[in-house]
Amino acid sequence: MIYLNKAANKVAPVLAILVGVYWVLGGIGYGLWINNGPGGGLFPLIGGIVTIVSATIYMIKLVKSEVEFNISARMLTPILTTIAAIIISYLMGLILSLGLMIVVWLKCYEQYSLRKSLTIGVATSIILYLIFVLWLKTPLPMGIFKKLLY
Amino acid sequence: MLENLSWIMYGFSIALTFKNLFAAFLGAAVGLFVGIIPGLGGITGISILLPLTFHVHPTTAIIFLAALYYSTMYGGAYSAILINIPGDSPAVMTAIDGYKMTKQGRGGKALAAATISSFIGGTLGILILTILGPTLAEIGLKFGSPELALLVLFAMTSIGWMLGEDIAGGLLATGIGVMLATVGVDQAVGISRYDFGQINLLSGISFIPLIIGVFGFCQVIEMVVTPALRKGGKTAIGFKECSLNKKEMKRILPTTIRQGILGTFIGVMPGSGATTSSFLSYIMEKKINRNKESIGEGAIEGIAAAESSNNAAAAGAMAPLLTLGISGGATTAVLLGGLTMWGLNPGPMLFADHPDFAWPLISSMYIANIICIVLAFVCIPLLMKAVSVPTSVMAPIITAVCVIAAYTSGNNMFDVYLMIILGVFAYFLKIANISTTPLLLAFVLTPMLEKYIRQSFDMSAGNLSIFYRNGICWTFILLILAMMISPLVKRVVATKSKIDK
Repeated sequence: MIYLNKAANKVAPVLAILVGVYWVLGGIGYGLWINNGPGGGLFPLIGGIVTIVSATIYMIKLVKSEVEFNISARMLTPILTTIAAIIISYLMGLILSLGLMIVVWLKCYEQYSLRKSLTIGVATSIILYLIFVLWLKTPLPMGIFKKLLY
Repeated sequence: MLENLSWIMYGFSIALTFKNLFAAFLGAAVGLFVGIIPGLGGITGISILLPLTFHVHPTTAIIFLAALYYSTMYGGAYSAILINIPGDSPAVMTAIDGYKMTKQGRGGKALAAATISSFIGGTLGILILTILGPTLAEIGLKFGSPELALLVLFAMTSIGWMLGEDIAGGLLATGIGVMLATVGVDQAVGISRYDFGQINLLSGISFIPLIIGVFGFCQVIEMVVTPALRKGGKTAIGFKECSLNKKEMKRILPTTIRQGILGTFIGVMPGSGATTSSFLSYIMEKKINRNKESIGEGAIEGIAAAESSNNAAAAGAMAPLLTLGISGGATTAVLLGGLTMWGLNPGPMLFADHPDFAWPLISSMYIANIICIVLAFVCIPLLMKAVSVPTSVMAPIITAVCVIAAYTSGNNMFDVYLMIILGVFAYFLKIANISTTPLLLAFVLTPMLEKYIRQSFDMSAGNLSIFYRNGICWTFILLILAMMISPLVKRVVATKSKIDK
């Protein structure tokens, strides 16, 4: 198995500290007390300070404990395939691109037969179409089919 | 009391006609289905189907919509339990214990606990509504902005009860929740906060992409990464596995009754609703339940607390709607719109002027509740079959559902990207052993707290004394203090007993 990073468990606290600093600075800019009441910046400031302090304590605890977490490259599979499906949806519509995503995922990553992958992909697409398009009338992206239909 | 009893009998005589019974059945069936679909909730279901009701009698229409509203509460729990994606925000707390039970091969029991608790909590709520409806509405009106601010603050301080030993991790999640909740235009002063130039962030981060990301997409990443989760297991779907035995019923009964009563009262308060009530009830049970250690690890008590409370709150929310014409939340606001469109004026005179409408509605809620439990138990074995599908097949299907549900929440692709980002971040929190529940709780409560505190200061021109203006305020202040001091006292007592030993 390919691993991306040994210290993956430290990503969240580090990110939280950075975002917390940004929130505190932004909060001060929005104003803390306006017109006899809390300004737009008070709650972000509180949230930011709580985050920075607790994330720092948590980080110190993690470093002291020397616990590491090997993150697998597999985590990229759902992220990249979903992003690919979204990009393709602008061309062929959301339902079809999600169906295609399921087929490719099952065939290439999970090593299922093409027949089984196609059956699951098509069946899911039909169910999603019936619920969201036909029944709920959700205006889903239709890609080139929009031009063909209208 | 006796007068109410005779009116409720009159209500039953109308609600039990074939037409109204069918409306209740249809509403319950559609609501159950809508509730199961992640991202859709009572408000979506009612909004979509409201126009269809203009062709029928108002009594039949409201029976249909009330049954739908009610049964979405049942359905919301099922996707939370089976695939860790709450159908709607009140089911967030159900996912904590529910999904753990599914992973332990006890998904059928979890579904049964959710269904039975929903039934008991809902029935209690309707019963309280029948007997004390107008009184409850009056109590609800006593809660102005300062009282509501203190109630929300009380709910926020109770997060401390959920943190356990890992206080820094819990506070970190809470801080992130507060930060995420402050994105978007600040309603009081009209400035846009942390929008990064994105028009989609002006109205803030939607709750649906957040829960789908934190629960659903994060779950998909875990399924793909963890080899142990990738094997499909054989799931028993017999009657025994999909129902509760006498011992288990005894375990959940006190919880459902307690939280059913609490949920009804929280539901009555304007602006609090089923989500707040399920959060508070869960936290309360985690503190006082006999089996509190196992709540959060896959306990039926955790499911019972959340489900009983959110169903009771749904019934409680009908009290101010019908007797005062005030909606407590978004879903009841749509129902209120429907009532007005049918030519009815909800308020103190509704029960006097239109008893043929108000009482059949209340009676139909009892009937809808029975229909819901029957339908739910028919569905449980079918739903359990979904769990036996191998995770390798489930992962791409859940991903597709996550994408489409996130898109549906705002009909834009931005919410889908947001869902992915939040899902990945939630996965990093998970591998750092940080629970995401306080994050969701803070995300839901912060906008309410900010709004009510602002309104209170506006009312008093910046005078702090408004927060201790009456007995309700003082009760909450004492509760908040107790909540903040109790972990410290507990720690001191534990240290002392350790030293003594």
